[in-house]
Amino acid sequence: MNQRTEYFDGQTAARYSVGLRFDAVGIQISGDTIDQFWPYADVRYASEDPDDLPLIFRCLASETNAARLIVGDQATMDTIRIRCADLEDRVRCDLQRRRYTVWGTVGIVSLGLIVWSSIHFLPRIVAPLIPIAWEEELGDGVVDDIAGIFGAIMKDEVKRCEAADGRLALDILVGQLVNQVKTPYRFEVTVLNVDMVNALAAPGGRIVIFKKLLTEAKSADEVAGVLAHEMGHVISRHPTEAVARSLGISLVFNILLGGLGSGATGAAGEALVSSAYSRDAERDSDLIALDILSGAQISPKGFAEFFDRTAKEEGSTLRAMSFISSHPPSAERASAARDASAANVHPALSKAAWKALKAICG
Amino acid sequence: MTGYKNGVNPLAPKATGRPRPMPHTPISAHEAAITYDAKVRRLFGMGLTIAFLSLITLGFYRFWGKTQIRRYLASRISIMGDRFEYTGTGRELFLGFLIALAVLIPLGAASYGIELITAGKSAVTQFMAMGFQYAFILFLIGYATFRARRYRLSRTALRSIRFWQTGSNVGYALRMVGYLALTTATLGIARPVGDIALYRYQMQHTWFGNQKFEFDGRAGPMMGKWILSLALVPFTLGLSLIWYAAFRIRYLQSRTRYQGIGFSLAVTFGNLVRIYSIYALVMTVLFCFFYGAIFAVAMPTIVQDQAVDAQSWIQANAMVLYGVGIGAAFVVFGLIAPIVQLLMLTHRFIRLVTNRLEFIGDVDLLTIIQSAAERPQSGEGLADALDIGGGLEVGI
Repeated sequence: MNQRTEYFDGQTAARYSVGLRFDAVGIQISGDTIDQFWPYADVRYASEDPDDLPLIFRCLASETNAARLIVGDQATMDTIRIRCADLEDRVRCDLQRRRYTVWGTVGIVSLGLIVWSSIHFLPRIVAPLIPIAWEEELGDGVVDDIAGIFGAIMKDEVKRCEAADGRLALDILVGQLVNQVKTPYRFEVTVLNVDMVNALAAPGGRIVIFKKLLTEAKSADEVAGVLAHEMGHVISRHPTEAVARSLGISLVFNILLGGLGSGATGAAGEALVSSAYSRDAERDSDLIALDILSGAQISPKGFAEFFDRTAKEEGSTLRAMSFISSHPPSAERASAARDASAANVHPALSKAAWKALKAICG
Repeated sequence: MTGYKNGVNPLAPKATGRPRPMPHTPISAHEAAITYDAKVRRLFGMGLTIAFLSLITLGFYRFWGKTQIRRYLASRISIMGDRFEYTGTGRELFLGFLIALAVLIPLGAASYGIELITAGKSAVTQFMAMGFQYAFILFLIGYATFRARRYRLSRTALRSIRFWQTGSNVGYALRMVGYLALTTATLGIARPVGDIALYRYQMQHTWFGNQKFEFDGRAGPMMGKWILSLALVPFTLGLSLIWYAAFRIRYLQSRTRYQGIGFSLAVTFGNLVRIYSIYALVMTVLFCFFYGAIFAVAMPTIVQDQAVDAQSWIQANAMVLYGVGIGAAFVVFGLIAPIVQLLMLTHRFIRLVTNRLEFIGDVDLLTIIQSAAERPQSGEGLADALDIGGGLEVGI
């Protein structure tokens, strides 16, 4: 290609023909009005590809930073390659290795902190700051979402079970339990017509029970145990924390992976269905549940038996979303419940009321 | 890194600059041939490596990868035998990303708050909150677009002279939101008005050295063709929009000037259709093929217990199915799509433009003097975080 040696001075767009003289420490570049000295140690490739001719060089010294030397003939190229040892030294030519390291470290540490805190720390701070009224609205939305999710899975609308007698029985049951706790939450229990042994707590005191839990339960005491357990979650604000956590995580990931504002709330309901609380959270809720049951003079035996049975069934059906899979070592919990058994108890519901509750979905 | 201390070139000539002899004086049009000689093979190798590294680093390599590709593409475009040079670094892009993170996290937190507050409120409240959020996001996109353009131009040089951009990011973003509202209000008819205004804003704030680009296009001449192409959309399956796009490119270039130089970019409908249809075809085939292949591999390992009915099987394996879906999306969107886009869209588009672009007129290169204006010190973070464009724009 071009055999001439040319020079752009970084100040005008004019092209200068120049001659090069190699002395002890650098290249003397001279032309019509050009008189520059480039120390060997400061010369770098400006070409993208060292095999790509003609070669372009630049110089680190700040006065000639924008200038470019263009070399077309082989002999000159070879001379420059021999004399200039650091032609390819990208990092040194940045002259900012330290700044780079510092920023890199700060960036990675801060990213780590953001991710860590949005999982472990922020939800616990944020959840108590949210007014109960918002939580209730959020909870209603989440219950709707859950109904929607299962509706989509089953390709059929999920009904809320509202048979009058059953509703009355449920209210009696919930009433007994609620009287035992001091909490700003108003509990609202919804039974969904879903064939699954599961129950979950949404923000704002909203509790969802799936139909099969009622039909599989052997007594009203068992249902009372499950309800008390979910109330324990609500009182400890676990559902609100979970929603805050999943929103936070999806936010962080949206930003990290590029792209912002793609439906953060959609994930919230799903997270409540699928994600497990920590074992500590489960234990806290169990303890609260036992308190509630003993206050209501309901035997915790039903609570224990329910977990015994689900423990036996563990690994059988409905693994993916079952009560068991998000509520590990049931046996351990069941024994804790049995230990708390008290003598002075009565059945949670009368036989007739229990029958009505079982039939709440018609 | 070529940044001057404090972003000021200490040697930039004063306005009166001493007179210089003229080694090679005015450049005329035919001398100013533009060439592009990127190798598809090299691009493919580069794209594959970068996509793979980005994938295993959860996307963090993308800053360095993008830079590498821009450097290569710029160095393959030359005018009068002089190559463009992209002097940006991955570090600057990463720095910009960190800054954007610092801006976006509080903003994100605010929108998180709005979602919490309005969840479960009346539909009207939710709608208004959503409208506000969208307007704000649009504003951010406008801001980020102009800021990213400023960065890319300031890192692009020809004959040792840099491009750069003046104008205000906020001003551009507000105009963009305003014109978008106008376009929406007129059901799309007024689109050329905003299009021209924004393009003019861009060009009139674009500099090469100490000289500015000019643009004197008007919306009037575009109006008729735009409305016609809009009206024909149902009958042409949208092809009329491509016909308009070709006209738009030709018109915008013909109205752009740099000093004594005018531009002619003879892009035709056929050119664009060929690029877009091949891209769409390759993309579709690859998507189908890879989704099919991944499911074919994954299915036998998923299907174990055939006794259970379909519904409970899906329930039991929901997480596995979900995982396979995510994995497939990762491979297709993370690994394949960027490479196809690079080869089929970016590369071919640059080739088309460089083939068809002609310069009309003369420019005295000695009058073009490096500007001493400040340059942005960090990359296009916000645009990256907002996922704007492939961002491979080079030079003019």
